Amino acid sequence: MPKRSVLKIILILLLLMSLLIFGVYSYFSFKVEKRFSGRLWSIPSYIFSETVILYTGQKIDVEDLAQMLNTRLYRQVRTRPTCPGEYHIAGSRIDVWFRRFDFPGKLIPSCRVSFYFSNGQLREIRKYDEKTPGVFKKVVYYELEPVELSRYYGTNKESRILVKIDRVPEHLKKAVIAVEDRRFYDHSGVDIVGILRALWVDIRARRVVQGGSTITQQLVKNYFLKPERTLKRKILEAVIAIVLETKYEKDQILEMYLNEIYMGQRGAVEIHGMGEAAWYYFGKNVEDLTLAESALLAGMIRGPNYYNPILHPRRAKARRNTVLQIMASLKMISDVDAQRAAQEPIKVITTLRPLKRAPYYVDTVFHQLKQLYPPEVLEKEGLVVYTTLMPEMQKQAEVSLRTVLQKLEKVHLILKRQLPTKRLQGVVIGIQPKTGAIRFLIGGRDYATSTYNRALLAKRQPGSAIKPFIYYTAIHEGWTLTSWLEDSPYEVSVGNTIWKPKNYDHKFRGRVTLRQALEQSLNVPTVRLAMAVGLNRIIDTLHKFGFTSPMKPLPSLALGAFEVTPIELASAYTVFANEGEKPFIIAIKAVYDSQGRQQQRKHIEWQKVTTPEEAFLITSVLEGVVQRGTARSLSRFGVNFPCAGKTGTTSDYRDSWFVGYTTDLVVLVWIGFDNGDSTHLSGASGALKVWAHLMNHIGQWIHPQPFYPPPHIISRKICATSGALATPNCPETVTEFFIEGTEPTYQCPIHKSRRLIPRFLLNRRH
Amino acid sequence: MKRLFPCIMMLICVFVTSCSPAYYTLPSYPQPLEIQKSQQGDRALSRKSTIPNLNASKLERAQTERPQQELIPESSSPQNVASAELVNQARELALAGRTEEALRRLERAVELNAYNGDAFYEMARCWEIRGDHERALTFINRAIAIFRGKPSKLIPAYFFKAAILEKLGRISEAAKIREMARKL
Repeated sequence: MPKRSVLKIILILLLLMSLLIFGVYSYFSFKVEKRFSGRLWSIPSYIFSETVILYTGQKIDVEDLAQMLNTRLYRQVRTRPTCPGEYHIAGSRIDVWFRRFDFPGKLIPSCRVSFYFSNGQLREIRKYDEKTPGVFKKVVYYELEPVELSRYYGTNKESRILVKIDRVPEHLKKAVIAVEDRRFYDHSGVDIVGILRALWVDIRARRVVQGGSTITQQLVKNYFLKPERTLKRKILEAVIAIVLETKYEKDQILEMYLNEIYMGQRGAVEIHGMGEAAWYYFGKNVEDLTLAESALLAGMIRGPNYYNPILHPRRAKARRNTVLQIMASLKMISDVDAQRAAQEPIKVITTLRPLKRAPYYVDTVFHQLKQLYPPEVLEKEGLVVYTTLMPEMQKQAEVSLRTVLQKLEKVHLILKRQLPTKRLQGVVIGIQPKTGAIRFLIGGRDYATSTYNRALLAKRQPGSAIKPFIYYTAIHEGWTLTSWLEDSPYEVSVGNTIWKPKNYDHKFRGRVTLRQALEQSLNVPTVRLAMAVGLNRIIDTLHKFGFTSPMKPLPSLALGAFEVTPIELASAYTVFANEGEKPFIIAIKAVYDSQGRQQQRKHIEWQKVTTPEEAFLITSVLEGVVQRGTARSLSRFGVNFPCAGKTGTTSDYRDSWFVGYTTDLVVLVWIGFDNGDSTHLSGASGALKVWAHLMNHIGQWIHPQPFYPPPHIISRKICATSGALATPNCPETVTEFFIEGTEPTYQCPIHKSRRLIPRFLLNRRH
Repeated sequence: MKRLFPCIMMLICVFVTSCSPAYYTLPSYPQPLEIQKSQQGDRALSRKSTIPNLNASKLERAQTERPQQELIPESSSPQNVASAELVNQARELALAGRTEEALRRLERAVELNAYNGDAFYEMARCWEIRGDHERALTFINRAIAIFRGKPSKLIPAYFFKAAILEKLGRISEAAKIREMARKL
């Protein structure tokens, strides 16, 4: 064959090969671009609690703060903290090195803070001043980072915290490169030297000891290919790896790898990436990892569950030390550093971390989120949701409910049930009345046995807890707190039957004032009042206060014989606690996308329901309920701060309610059986006890102040017998509040000035 | 004389009846209340009697001191100090145009001290900057209610409210508020 023909054939073959290479490159290049231009990972939505403001003078002690830090996965150390995520207790002082909290929508920089305590109080807060080294500056308050409550996973349940390569410490990068692909910065996707070396090691050991896959190949395997061991997959892996290397920088590939790599299991949830692993195993941000911790994480890549430091600390330590040796042998770290790191004990976080904190509350948040976003967005796009929950208050509410229910069951054996699903249930809801923020919410006794959220869904009769709204209607219609009501046998026809309401003690008191009737929760005067005011008017009032449950204009409406949900009732009471304005009830405060763009933000929003004066009059009576009415036992339980509230009991003692409030917190408690069995508990003997227990233990988070009368409220001395303005001769007087213009204008005619009354009449009278 | 006697008797009857307590007692509520004497103490009163025994000093203060003297005291309790600090920071943020961050702090300030009038005042300012006059009005009203009796704070609050009302087109109301501020 002539030389020219051979050359021609070679040229044609070369051309064809070039075309083939170009075609393959273009194809895979398109594939890579398509895959990497979209969302790389499925990131769940993060649900965070509210931050906590710690201020000087607050009634918290060393133990309280230590507890808070443990909840936030801080690690107690024996000496002063040496890195973020640690705290040290030194007598009455706590030194904390706070981590940087950096999630979309919220940035709290890392800093060192010392908290000084004395006599159960936070006496001083000193923050390390970065500008003047060595100096701790006094501050008035410190904002403690939020607690992660839960994550919204998809079906694949991958858990991941993304990290940027510039925040990854050098020693972690080096450790990963040392054990996974030591020639990472020298090859172009496929490492021939590495493959040959691995082959030689495997032949010598007569088993697979070392793999020849580069970091790029591993990334490709995870993204594009199925986990099968075939030659075809290996070739494809190598080809795509080479294409990938032409498209991206080395650091970009390393960043993708560090975010993608599988790092273990947390129950059904997979831990992916170094960010999540650092947080899960060490309670640290990735930038705060030490050399020893980085070496451990890098070593775990080979077998994340086999080398799990929580379950197998010895194995993990041995693996870590091997990694340190490799790093030293590759001159990535000095021998001294390697030895020093090898001496360190394995320090992992062992604090119990439920997948869902405050489960009923989180369910409420999920429910609201589902109305705002489609499931695929919630499962994959890494939304960050900030809620209004106060973790410390929530925890105490859970403890209080559990403790009191157990006590009640111990005292009243009739309340005990064998089946966990049939047990006595409870609901506790706490709302900040000025902001509408739900501070805590418990929808049942035990989430593990029943996920049914009674706080939101249970329809129960409110009983006497509805009475303040009946009395409010009367005040709105012009009645005053000294208006007389008759407490005597009363009959009212309902359809074809005659209904005879009775008081709880089956007694009649004759003539009583509006205040007395509500304070003592008298049924008969309440029904009389409701009938006088008009049932339809009362229904209008209830709608105005936010009740949406259906109700009929029947006389029994006045005694709460219709169904409402606990959240409806708690929200309605916020109107009284917020001087006539109904706050928009908020569980989700803000939502940000993974890029930090604000998606949702709820600010304080009020809707005017009534005047501050009318709201104040009801609050004043409900203060009376607590001081001398049906809830007077509160003082016996140690409640000695200004508060108002109302008990509620339904027929056959099916429901026990107490809704109480201070100037800064409305708390509703309900106790009952799901099947409507009698609890044999009144509002005062059941729910009130939970309320008292809770309020006595959250004193450090609330600041109850007196309920101050608004502008158009006046007070007058009234004769207790006649209800008219008292004269000096009135033997018994009371001081009562009135809305300006509704106060009595005439003096007591019974105890008139003695000069005007003939002596013989005075003698007769007394 | 015979005619005069019944008239005199009638007058006497009217006089006697008008002096009688029964004349003034409502006929439909004939049963007098059982009143326990105050000597029996509050506790006994609370159990046996249904007559309220309110905190007299609080009520009388409300009766006698209103409306000129302040009703809501400005205490320097730890919560209030922390709350005031948050308001100071919010004020600076608002001045820098960062109303979103300012509102976040103000909301926390209100949580710490429900009677922080300055927080409500600044909240009103933030909403005014953002152009939500209705919401600004809600919060300035609350601030005014809290500032009662403190002219140094009340006057600017009144003027601010007047400005908001003007923006809402409620000119006559705004004029009235301005007049009230001037009278202070």
